[in-house]
Amino acid sequence: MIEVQRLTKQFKDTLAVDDLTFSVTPGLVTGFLGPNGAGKSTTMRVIVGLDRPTSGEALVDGKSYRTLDAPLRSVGAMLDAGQVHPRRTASAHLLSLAATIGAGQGRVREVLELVGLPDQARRRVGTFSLGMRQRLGIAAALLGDPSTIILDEPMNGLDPDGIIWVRSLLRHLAREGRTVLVSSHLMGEMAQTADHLIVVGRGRLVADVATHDLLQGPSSALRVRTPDPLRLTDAVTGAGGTTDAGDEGALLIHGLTAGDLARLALAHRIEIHELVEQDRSLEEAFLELTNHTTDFRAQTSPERTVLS
Amino acid sequence: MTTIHSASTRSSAPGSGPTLSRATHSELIKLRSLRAHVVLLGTGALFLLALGPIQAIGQVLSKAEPEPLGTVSAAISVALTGGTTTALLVGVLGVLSVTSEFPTALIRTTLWAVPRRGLAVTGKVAALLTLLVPTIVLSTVIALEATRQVLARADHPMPELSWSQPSVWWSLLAMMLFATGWALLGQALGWLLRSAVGAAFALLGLMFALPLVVLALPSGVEHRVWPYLLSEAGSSMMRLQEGNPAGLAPGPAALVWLGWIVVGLLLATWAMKRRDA
Repeated sequence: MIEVQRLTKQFKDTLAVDDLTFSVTPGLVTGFLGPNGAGKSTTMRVIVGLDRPTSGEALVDGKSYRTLDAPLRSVGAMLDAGQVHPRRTASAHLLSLAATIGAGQGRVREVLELVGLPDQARRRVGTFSLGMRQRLGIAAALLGDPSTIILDEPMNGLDPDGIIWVRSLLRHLAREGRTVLVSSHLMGEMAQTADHLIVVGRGRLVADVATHDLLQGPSSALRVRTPDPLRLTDAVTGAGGTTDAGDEGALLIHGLTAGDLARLALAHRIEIHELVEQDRSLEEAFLELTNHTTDFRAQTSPERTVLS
Repeated sequence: MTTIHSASTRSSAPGSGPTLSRATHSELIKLRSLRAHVVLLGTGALFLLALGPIQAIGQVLSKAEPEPLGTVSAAISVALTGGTTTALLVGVLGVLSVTSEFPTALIRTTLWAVPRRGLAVTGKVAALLTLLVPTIVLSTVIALEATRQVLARADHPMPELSWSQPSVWWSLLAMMLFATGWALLGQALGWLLRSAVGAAFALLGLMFALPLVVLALPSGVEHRVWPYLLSEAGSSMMRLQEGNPAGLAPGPAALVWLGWIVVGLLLATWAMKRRDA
C-alpha cells in the first residue's frame, strides 16, 4: 500500500510535483502515466526516501520509507536500470544488496533465474544490453521478496518477448496480493498491463481511474461501413448521435450503442457491412487528458480534469 | 518463473533489515568486487612494506657514514619510508569507495537498500577499516622487521631496532592511524563533494595547501593554529623525536588527527541526511 498525500517537490526553479495525492492498493497493477517531466520519477524517488518532499508525504504501509525496519523486504524498487557500477559483475551487485537483509548467494541465484539471467551472473554489468540491465534491475527489486514493487519504465529496451514476460510477471506479483506501481510512457502497453491508472501532468494529478473506465470514456465510438453513408448520417443525427469520418470510408458514430444503431439501420432499411465497437486508444484518452498540461509555456490555469 | 518467494519470507519482521554488520558486509562485497579498489590497496601495501627495507639496504651498502641513522626514531622513519605514498594511495581508495557510486547513480540503489544515511556512511567506514587495518598493520610489521634485519647486518654501527622498544610499537599504531585517517577523510570528502576529482584535490589541498595558507596568516595566529592543522597533527603523530621542539606530542597529535576524521565523517553524514540522492 502506497499513500501519497499532498506531495509537493520543488527543485531550485522547477516545481516537479505539485500537491499530488493518490494511493496505490495491493492486488492490482497500477500504471503511472504522464509525459516526460510530469513528475513520475520524482514521485517514485520520494516514495523510496531518496528525495525529501518540500511538503506533504509519501507513506509505504503507513510509514515513511526511511523509518522502515526492513526496507528491501517492504519495497522492491527499480528506479533506473543504470544504477549499477558497470565494472561489477551481476552477482557481486546483487550479493552486495542481498547482504543488507542477511540473504546470500542462494537468493541471488533464485532471482537471476527468475529474470532469465542465470548464466550471466559472472559477467560485468557494463557489457549488458539495456534489456539485460532492466532484468537485472528487476532481479534486485525482487531480492527481498517485497510486498510493494515500484518499477520506473521497466519495459524500456526490452524485446517483445521481454515485454510479454514483464507483463505476466507484474500480473503475477499483483495476484499474489502485492502492491505494484509501474511507470511507463508506452501507453498501449499499460492498457494491456495495468488494472488502474494514475495519470499526471506537470506534477499534478490528471486522472486516477480504472483502465477499463478510461478506455470506455466519452470518445469511444462505433465504426460502421455502409454503402449509403448520407442516409445513415441523417438517421443517426435524428436519433441524437453524432458522426465522424473514419479511415477508409468508415463512419465513426458517437452517442449510440451498437444495439441502438443496428435497430436504427433496420428501421431505415440501410445496408450495414461492418459494425464494430471501438474503444478509444489509451493514447487518445491520454492526449485528451493531458493536452492542458503538456505545454509548459502557454497556460498557467490551475484547472484539472479528474475522471473516475 | 513463479517461485518468487521461496527462501525468504514475506514478512518484514524486525531484525530482517540492515544492521551495522550487514551494511558493512554489503560494502565489503562492493569494495572487493572492483579491481581498481583492490589494485590501490595492494599497491599501497607494497609501497609500505618494500620501500623502507629498500631504503635501509641503500643506507647499509653506502660506504659513507650514515649520519641520519643516529637514533632509533631515525631508523623507524627509514623503515616507514613508504608511509606517505601509501597514505596517498589509500586516501584515493577512500575517495573512490564513495564517489564511484555517484556517476553511475548506484548510490540510489545503495540508499534504497540502506535508507538511513548514518548507517550507509558508517557501513562504508567499517568496511574500509576491515580491509585497511589488517593490511596496514601487516605491511608495517613487515617493513619494520625487514628493516631491523637489514640494519643488524650492517658493518658499521647502526642503532638497534628492536621490538622491545615502545617507540616501535607506537610507530606501528601511528602508521595505522595515519593511513586509515587519509582513507576515511577521503571517504568524508567523497560524500561531501560527490566527485572523485574534486574530493581527491580537496584531500591534497587539506594536507598540502592549507599549511601554506596558514603560513600567510599573521604570526600570532599562525603559531596558535599551526599544531592543529591536519598535516601537522599527522606528522607530529608520526614523529618520534625525543623532545619535539615545536608542535604537539605524538599522543595529543593523534587525538587531533582523530578529531579531524570524526568531524569530517559527521559533516558527511549531515550532508547526506539533508540532500536528495
